[in-house]
Amino acid sequence: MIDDDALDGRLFRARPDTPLRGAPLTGEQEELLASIMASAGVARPRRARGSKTVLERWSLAAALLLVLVVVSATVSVWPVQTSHAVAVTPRALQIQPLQGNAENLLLELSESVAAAAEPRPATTIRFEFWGLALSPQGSSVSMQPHETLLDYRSDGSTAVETRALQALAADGSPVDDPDARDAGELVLWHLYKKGEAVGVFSKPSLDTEWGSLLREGERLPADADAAGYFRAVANLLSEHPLSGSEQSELVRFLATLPDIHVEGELIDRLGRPGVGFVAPDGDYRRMLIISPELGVLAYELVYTGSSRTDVPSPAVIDYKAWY
Amino acid sequence: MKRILTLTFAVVLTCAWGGAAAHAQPTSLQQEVNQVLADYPGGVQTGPAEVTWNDGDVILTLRSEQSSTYGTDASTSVGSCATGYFCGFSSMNLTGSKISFSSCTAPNLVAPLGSPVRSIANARSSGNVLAFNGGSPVLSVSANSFVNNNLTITRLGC
Repeated sequence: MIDDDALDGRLFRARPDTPLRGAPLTGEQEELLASIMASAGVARPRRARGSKTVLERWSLAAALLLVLVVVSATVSVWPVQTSHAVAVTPRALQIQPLQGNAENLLLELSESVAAAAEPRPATTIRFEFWGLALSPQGSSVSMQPHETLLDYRSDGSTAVETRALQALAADGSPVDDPDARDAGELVLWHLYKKGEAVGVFSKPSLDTEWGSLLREGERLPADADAAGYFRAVANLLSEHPLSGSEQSELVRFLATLPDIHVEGELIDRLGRPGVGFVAPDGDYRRMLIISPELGVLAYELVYTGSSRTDVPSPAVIDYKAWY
Repeated sequence: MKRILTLTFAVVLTCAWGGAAAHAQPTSLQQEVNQVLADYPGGVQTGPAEVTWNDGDVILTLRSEQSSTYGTDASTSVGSCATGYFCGFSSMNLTGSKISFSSCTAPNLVAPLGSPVRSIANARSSGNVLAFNGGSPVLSVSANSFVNNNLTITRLGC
């Protein structure tokens, strides 16, 4: 008999084409679920074949008929369920198509970032983030946006501060949510003393071999795909401040990755123009938005699969915007 | 020379800043900070109970009864991980998407995050939280604290 942990894993890996939470299963979906459970060995224990009596069989058939009649009657009078318990996710960004291949555009952006770079080294990171808050039951709710500030101080310590931002509706308009934290309310404050690790990435410099730094920090394999590097870039930028010159070199490294395509020109969630580059990642797409002046502005994770019941598809399920 | 003003409203502050624990402060303390900021414009909140003016020339540290148990008080969360729960986040320092658990023995799979778990908060008042890669524990997080990591984690437990 397989345990619940293994069964959950098997169901997740099967990636069935499941409906949204609350929607009824089709016949095919019921068959798929039954086959997964059967292959996992979770079928109910059965009596030996032929051990039922005739009376038991007729009683069972009568009971099943009764259940069928009741269910049919209930379904026929029940109002059609039109809404499902899916999380509210942010609007999709409006994309303007852009000609050119990713490598050339990234190299052009790298040069323009270098030209606009300020010589002063960066000592702070500030970013807005939003994501899903998930429960063990598989449901999700939209998280309130937050803002995090990392301050690398001259004494070698680093302060991390996270505050709640205004709760937003799907269209980005403010909502009055009594359960939400007040905008500006402190959520986390932590001081890393000098010498304490803030995160997992080595401190970048102009001599950095970016592929190696990103792979080591994110523990990516040597043959990592662009999606892995995009994820690593998002985590790196949330951990170490980069100067304009370092941003330029980082963008130049991204130009060497083969599996990136140009999404197009867009305005990010903070109202800044940039170019979106996408790396496919199974049921997800990871996007970096890059400005000609500032380098990487934002990161977005978009779900495009069909196996999740907690969010629509496609949907942005995680974003960060640095400023 | 810097002047450091310390207002002691109640008992001694026992919280150890910079240690492994990191928490949202009690709301009442934040309200006190907000009141100070409103009453004395130009200040910047530089800590959960600290307000600074003129780039550190003046530092006000608020101390209250509630903060005397800061770090072990069951009424405090760890970042946005609610009291009594343990949470996995998709990014460092408790940022990004979050998945929350309360049962030590449930499967507690983290795959729905869509990204690896890069920080873990344990907002329980006692007991360690374990991060597993399959059946093997790879990381332990003590109560009322959080850790960053770059490990492969498939589930959380305790």
